Amino acid sequence: MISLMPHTFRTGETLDPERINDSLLAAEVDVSDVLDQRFTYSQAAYDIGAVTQADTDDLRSIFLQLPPGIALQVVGVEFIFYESTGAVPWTITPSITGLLPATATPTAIDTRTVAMSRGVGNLANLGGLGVTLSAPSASTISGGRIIVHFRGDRGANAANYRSYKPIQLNAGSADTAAVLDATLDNIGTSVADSAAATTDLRVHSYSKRNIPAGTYEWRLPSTGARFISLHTWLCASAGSVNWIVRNEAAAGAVAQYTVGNAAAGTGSTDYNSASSVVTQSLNNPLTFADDWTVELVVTGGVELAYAVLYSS
Amino acid sequence: MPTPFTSPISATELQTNFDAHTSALTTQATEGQKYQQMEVEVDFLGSGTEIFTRTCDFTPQDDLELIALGLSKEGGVGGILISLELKQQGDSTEYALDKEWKVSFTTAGLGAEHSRTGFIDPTGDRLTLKRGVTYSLELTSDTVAAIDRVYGFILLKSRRRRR
Repeated sequence: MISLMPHTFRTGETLDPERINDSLLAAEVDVSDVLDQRFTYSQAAYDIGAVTQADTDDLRSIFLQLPPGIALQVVGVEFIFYESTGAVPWTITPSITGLLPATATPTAIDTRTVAMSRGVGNLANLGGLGVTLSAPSASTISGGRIIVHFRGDRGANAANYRSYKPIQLNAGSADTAAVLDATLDNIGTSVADSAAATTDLRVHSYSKRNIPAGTYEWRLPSTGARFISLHTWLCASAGSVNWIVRNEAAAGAVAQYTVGNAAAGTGSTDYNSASSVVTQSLNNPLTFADDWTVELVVTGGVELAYAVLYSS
Repeated sequence: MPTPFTSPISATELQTNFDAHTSALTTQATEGQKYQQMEVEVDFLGSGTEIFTRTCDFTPQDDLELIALGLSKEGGVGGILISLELKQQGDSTEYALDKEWKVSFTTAGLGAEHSRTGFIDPTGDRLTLKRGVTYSLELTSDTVAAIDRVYGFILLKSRRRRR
């Protein structure tokens, strides 16, 4: 943003109300420019390899819960898959109003096939999203992904978020100092409201299917990110998992979030979460030593585990 | 924050108060530039691994700046060349600027290994992923022998938008 305000005011010059008014109007444009920049986009990818038509609903679905006090929109769900028979149509059905189901039929065995659920769906606070895959006859998805596209609205996430209307002075304005004070205070309030609305919510996802016992790690490059929650799901007939987010090695690789799930049995999903604000102190995304890590510890082997890490 | 005006209003007061807001607004305008990443992962990556298990296609709904590609592996043996490449999906390359966006390394041995390529050099090649264009993140290996686990990520920068 290139700021428009203010004029330069110099001692000794005659103060023309028009110059102040110009600055106040420029301030309005500047404030509006900043407040209008309220939407941020992100996307989360989920592995759907080896999903079959006969799987339980839980294994053919992904879920998403929102952290408290957060609003988020889903602006589309991509469904890209390769199917084993080359003929069976698959459908994705989002659970929220505003997003339409989408179906695609492969033209050959293991051929790239795409469906897109379009629309805009609002996820209310603590409300959830489910996206379920289904097929009318026996079929296996050889590989593919569901990509959920999100739009965060920091305006909707802020208690106060408003634009500012300037007062205009003229030659007859009484008590100019008081009027200016009030106007500048109004600008200040809008700026403060904008500053408070830092919840540019972004969604990072990790998913893995048919996981043998062991430890699996992903890297989180240091970007000065501010994380607010880790949500985890486990669909398994037996076994358990632990998701651990650790800070950089130089700071001791201390666990910032630790969330566990225990198997809830065939056809059931266990959900768990941890919420607190943790911030990466470094911004060196190309330096391995400054990475944070996301670790998945699997005990006993499980069918499906996935996690969402929210940053703002 | 502004200091209260007094009569008569001084030029310094005016300047100070407007500057305070300008500074705050400029800071606000840059705070929305943040990072996000996406992963692609495959167990047992070899040169014969099917494309559908080692790629992740996605269609950004907003323009995203490419910051880095990262590649890691666990297990396997030394001497295998593995890569992560960002491509425009399909046969076209115009939205990848007809250039190669890739990170790769030759494995040294059994343990965990990492490599990363940044695309943030002001004088180097830069790429903005365009909304509505489908891109692919693709893992490859030049050897039949499988590596236990290979994962890659793309690091992107997004900005606040009006829509």
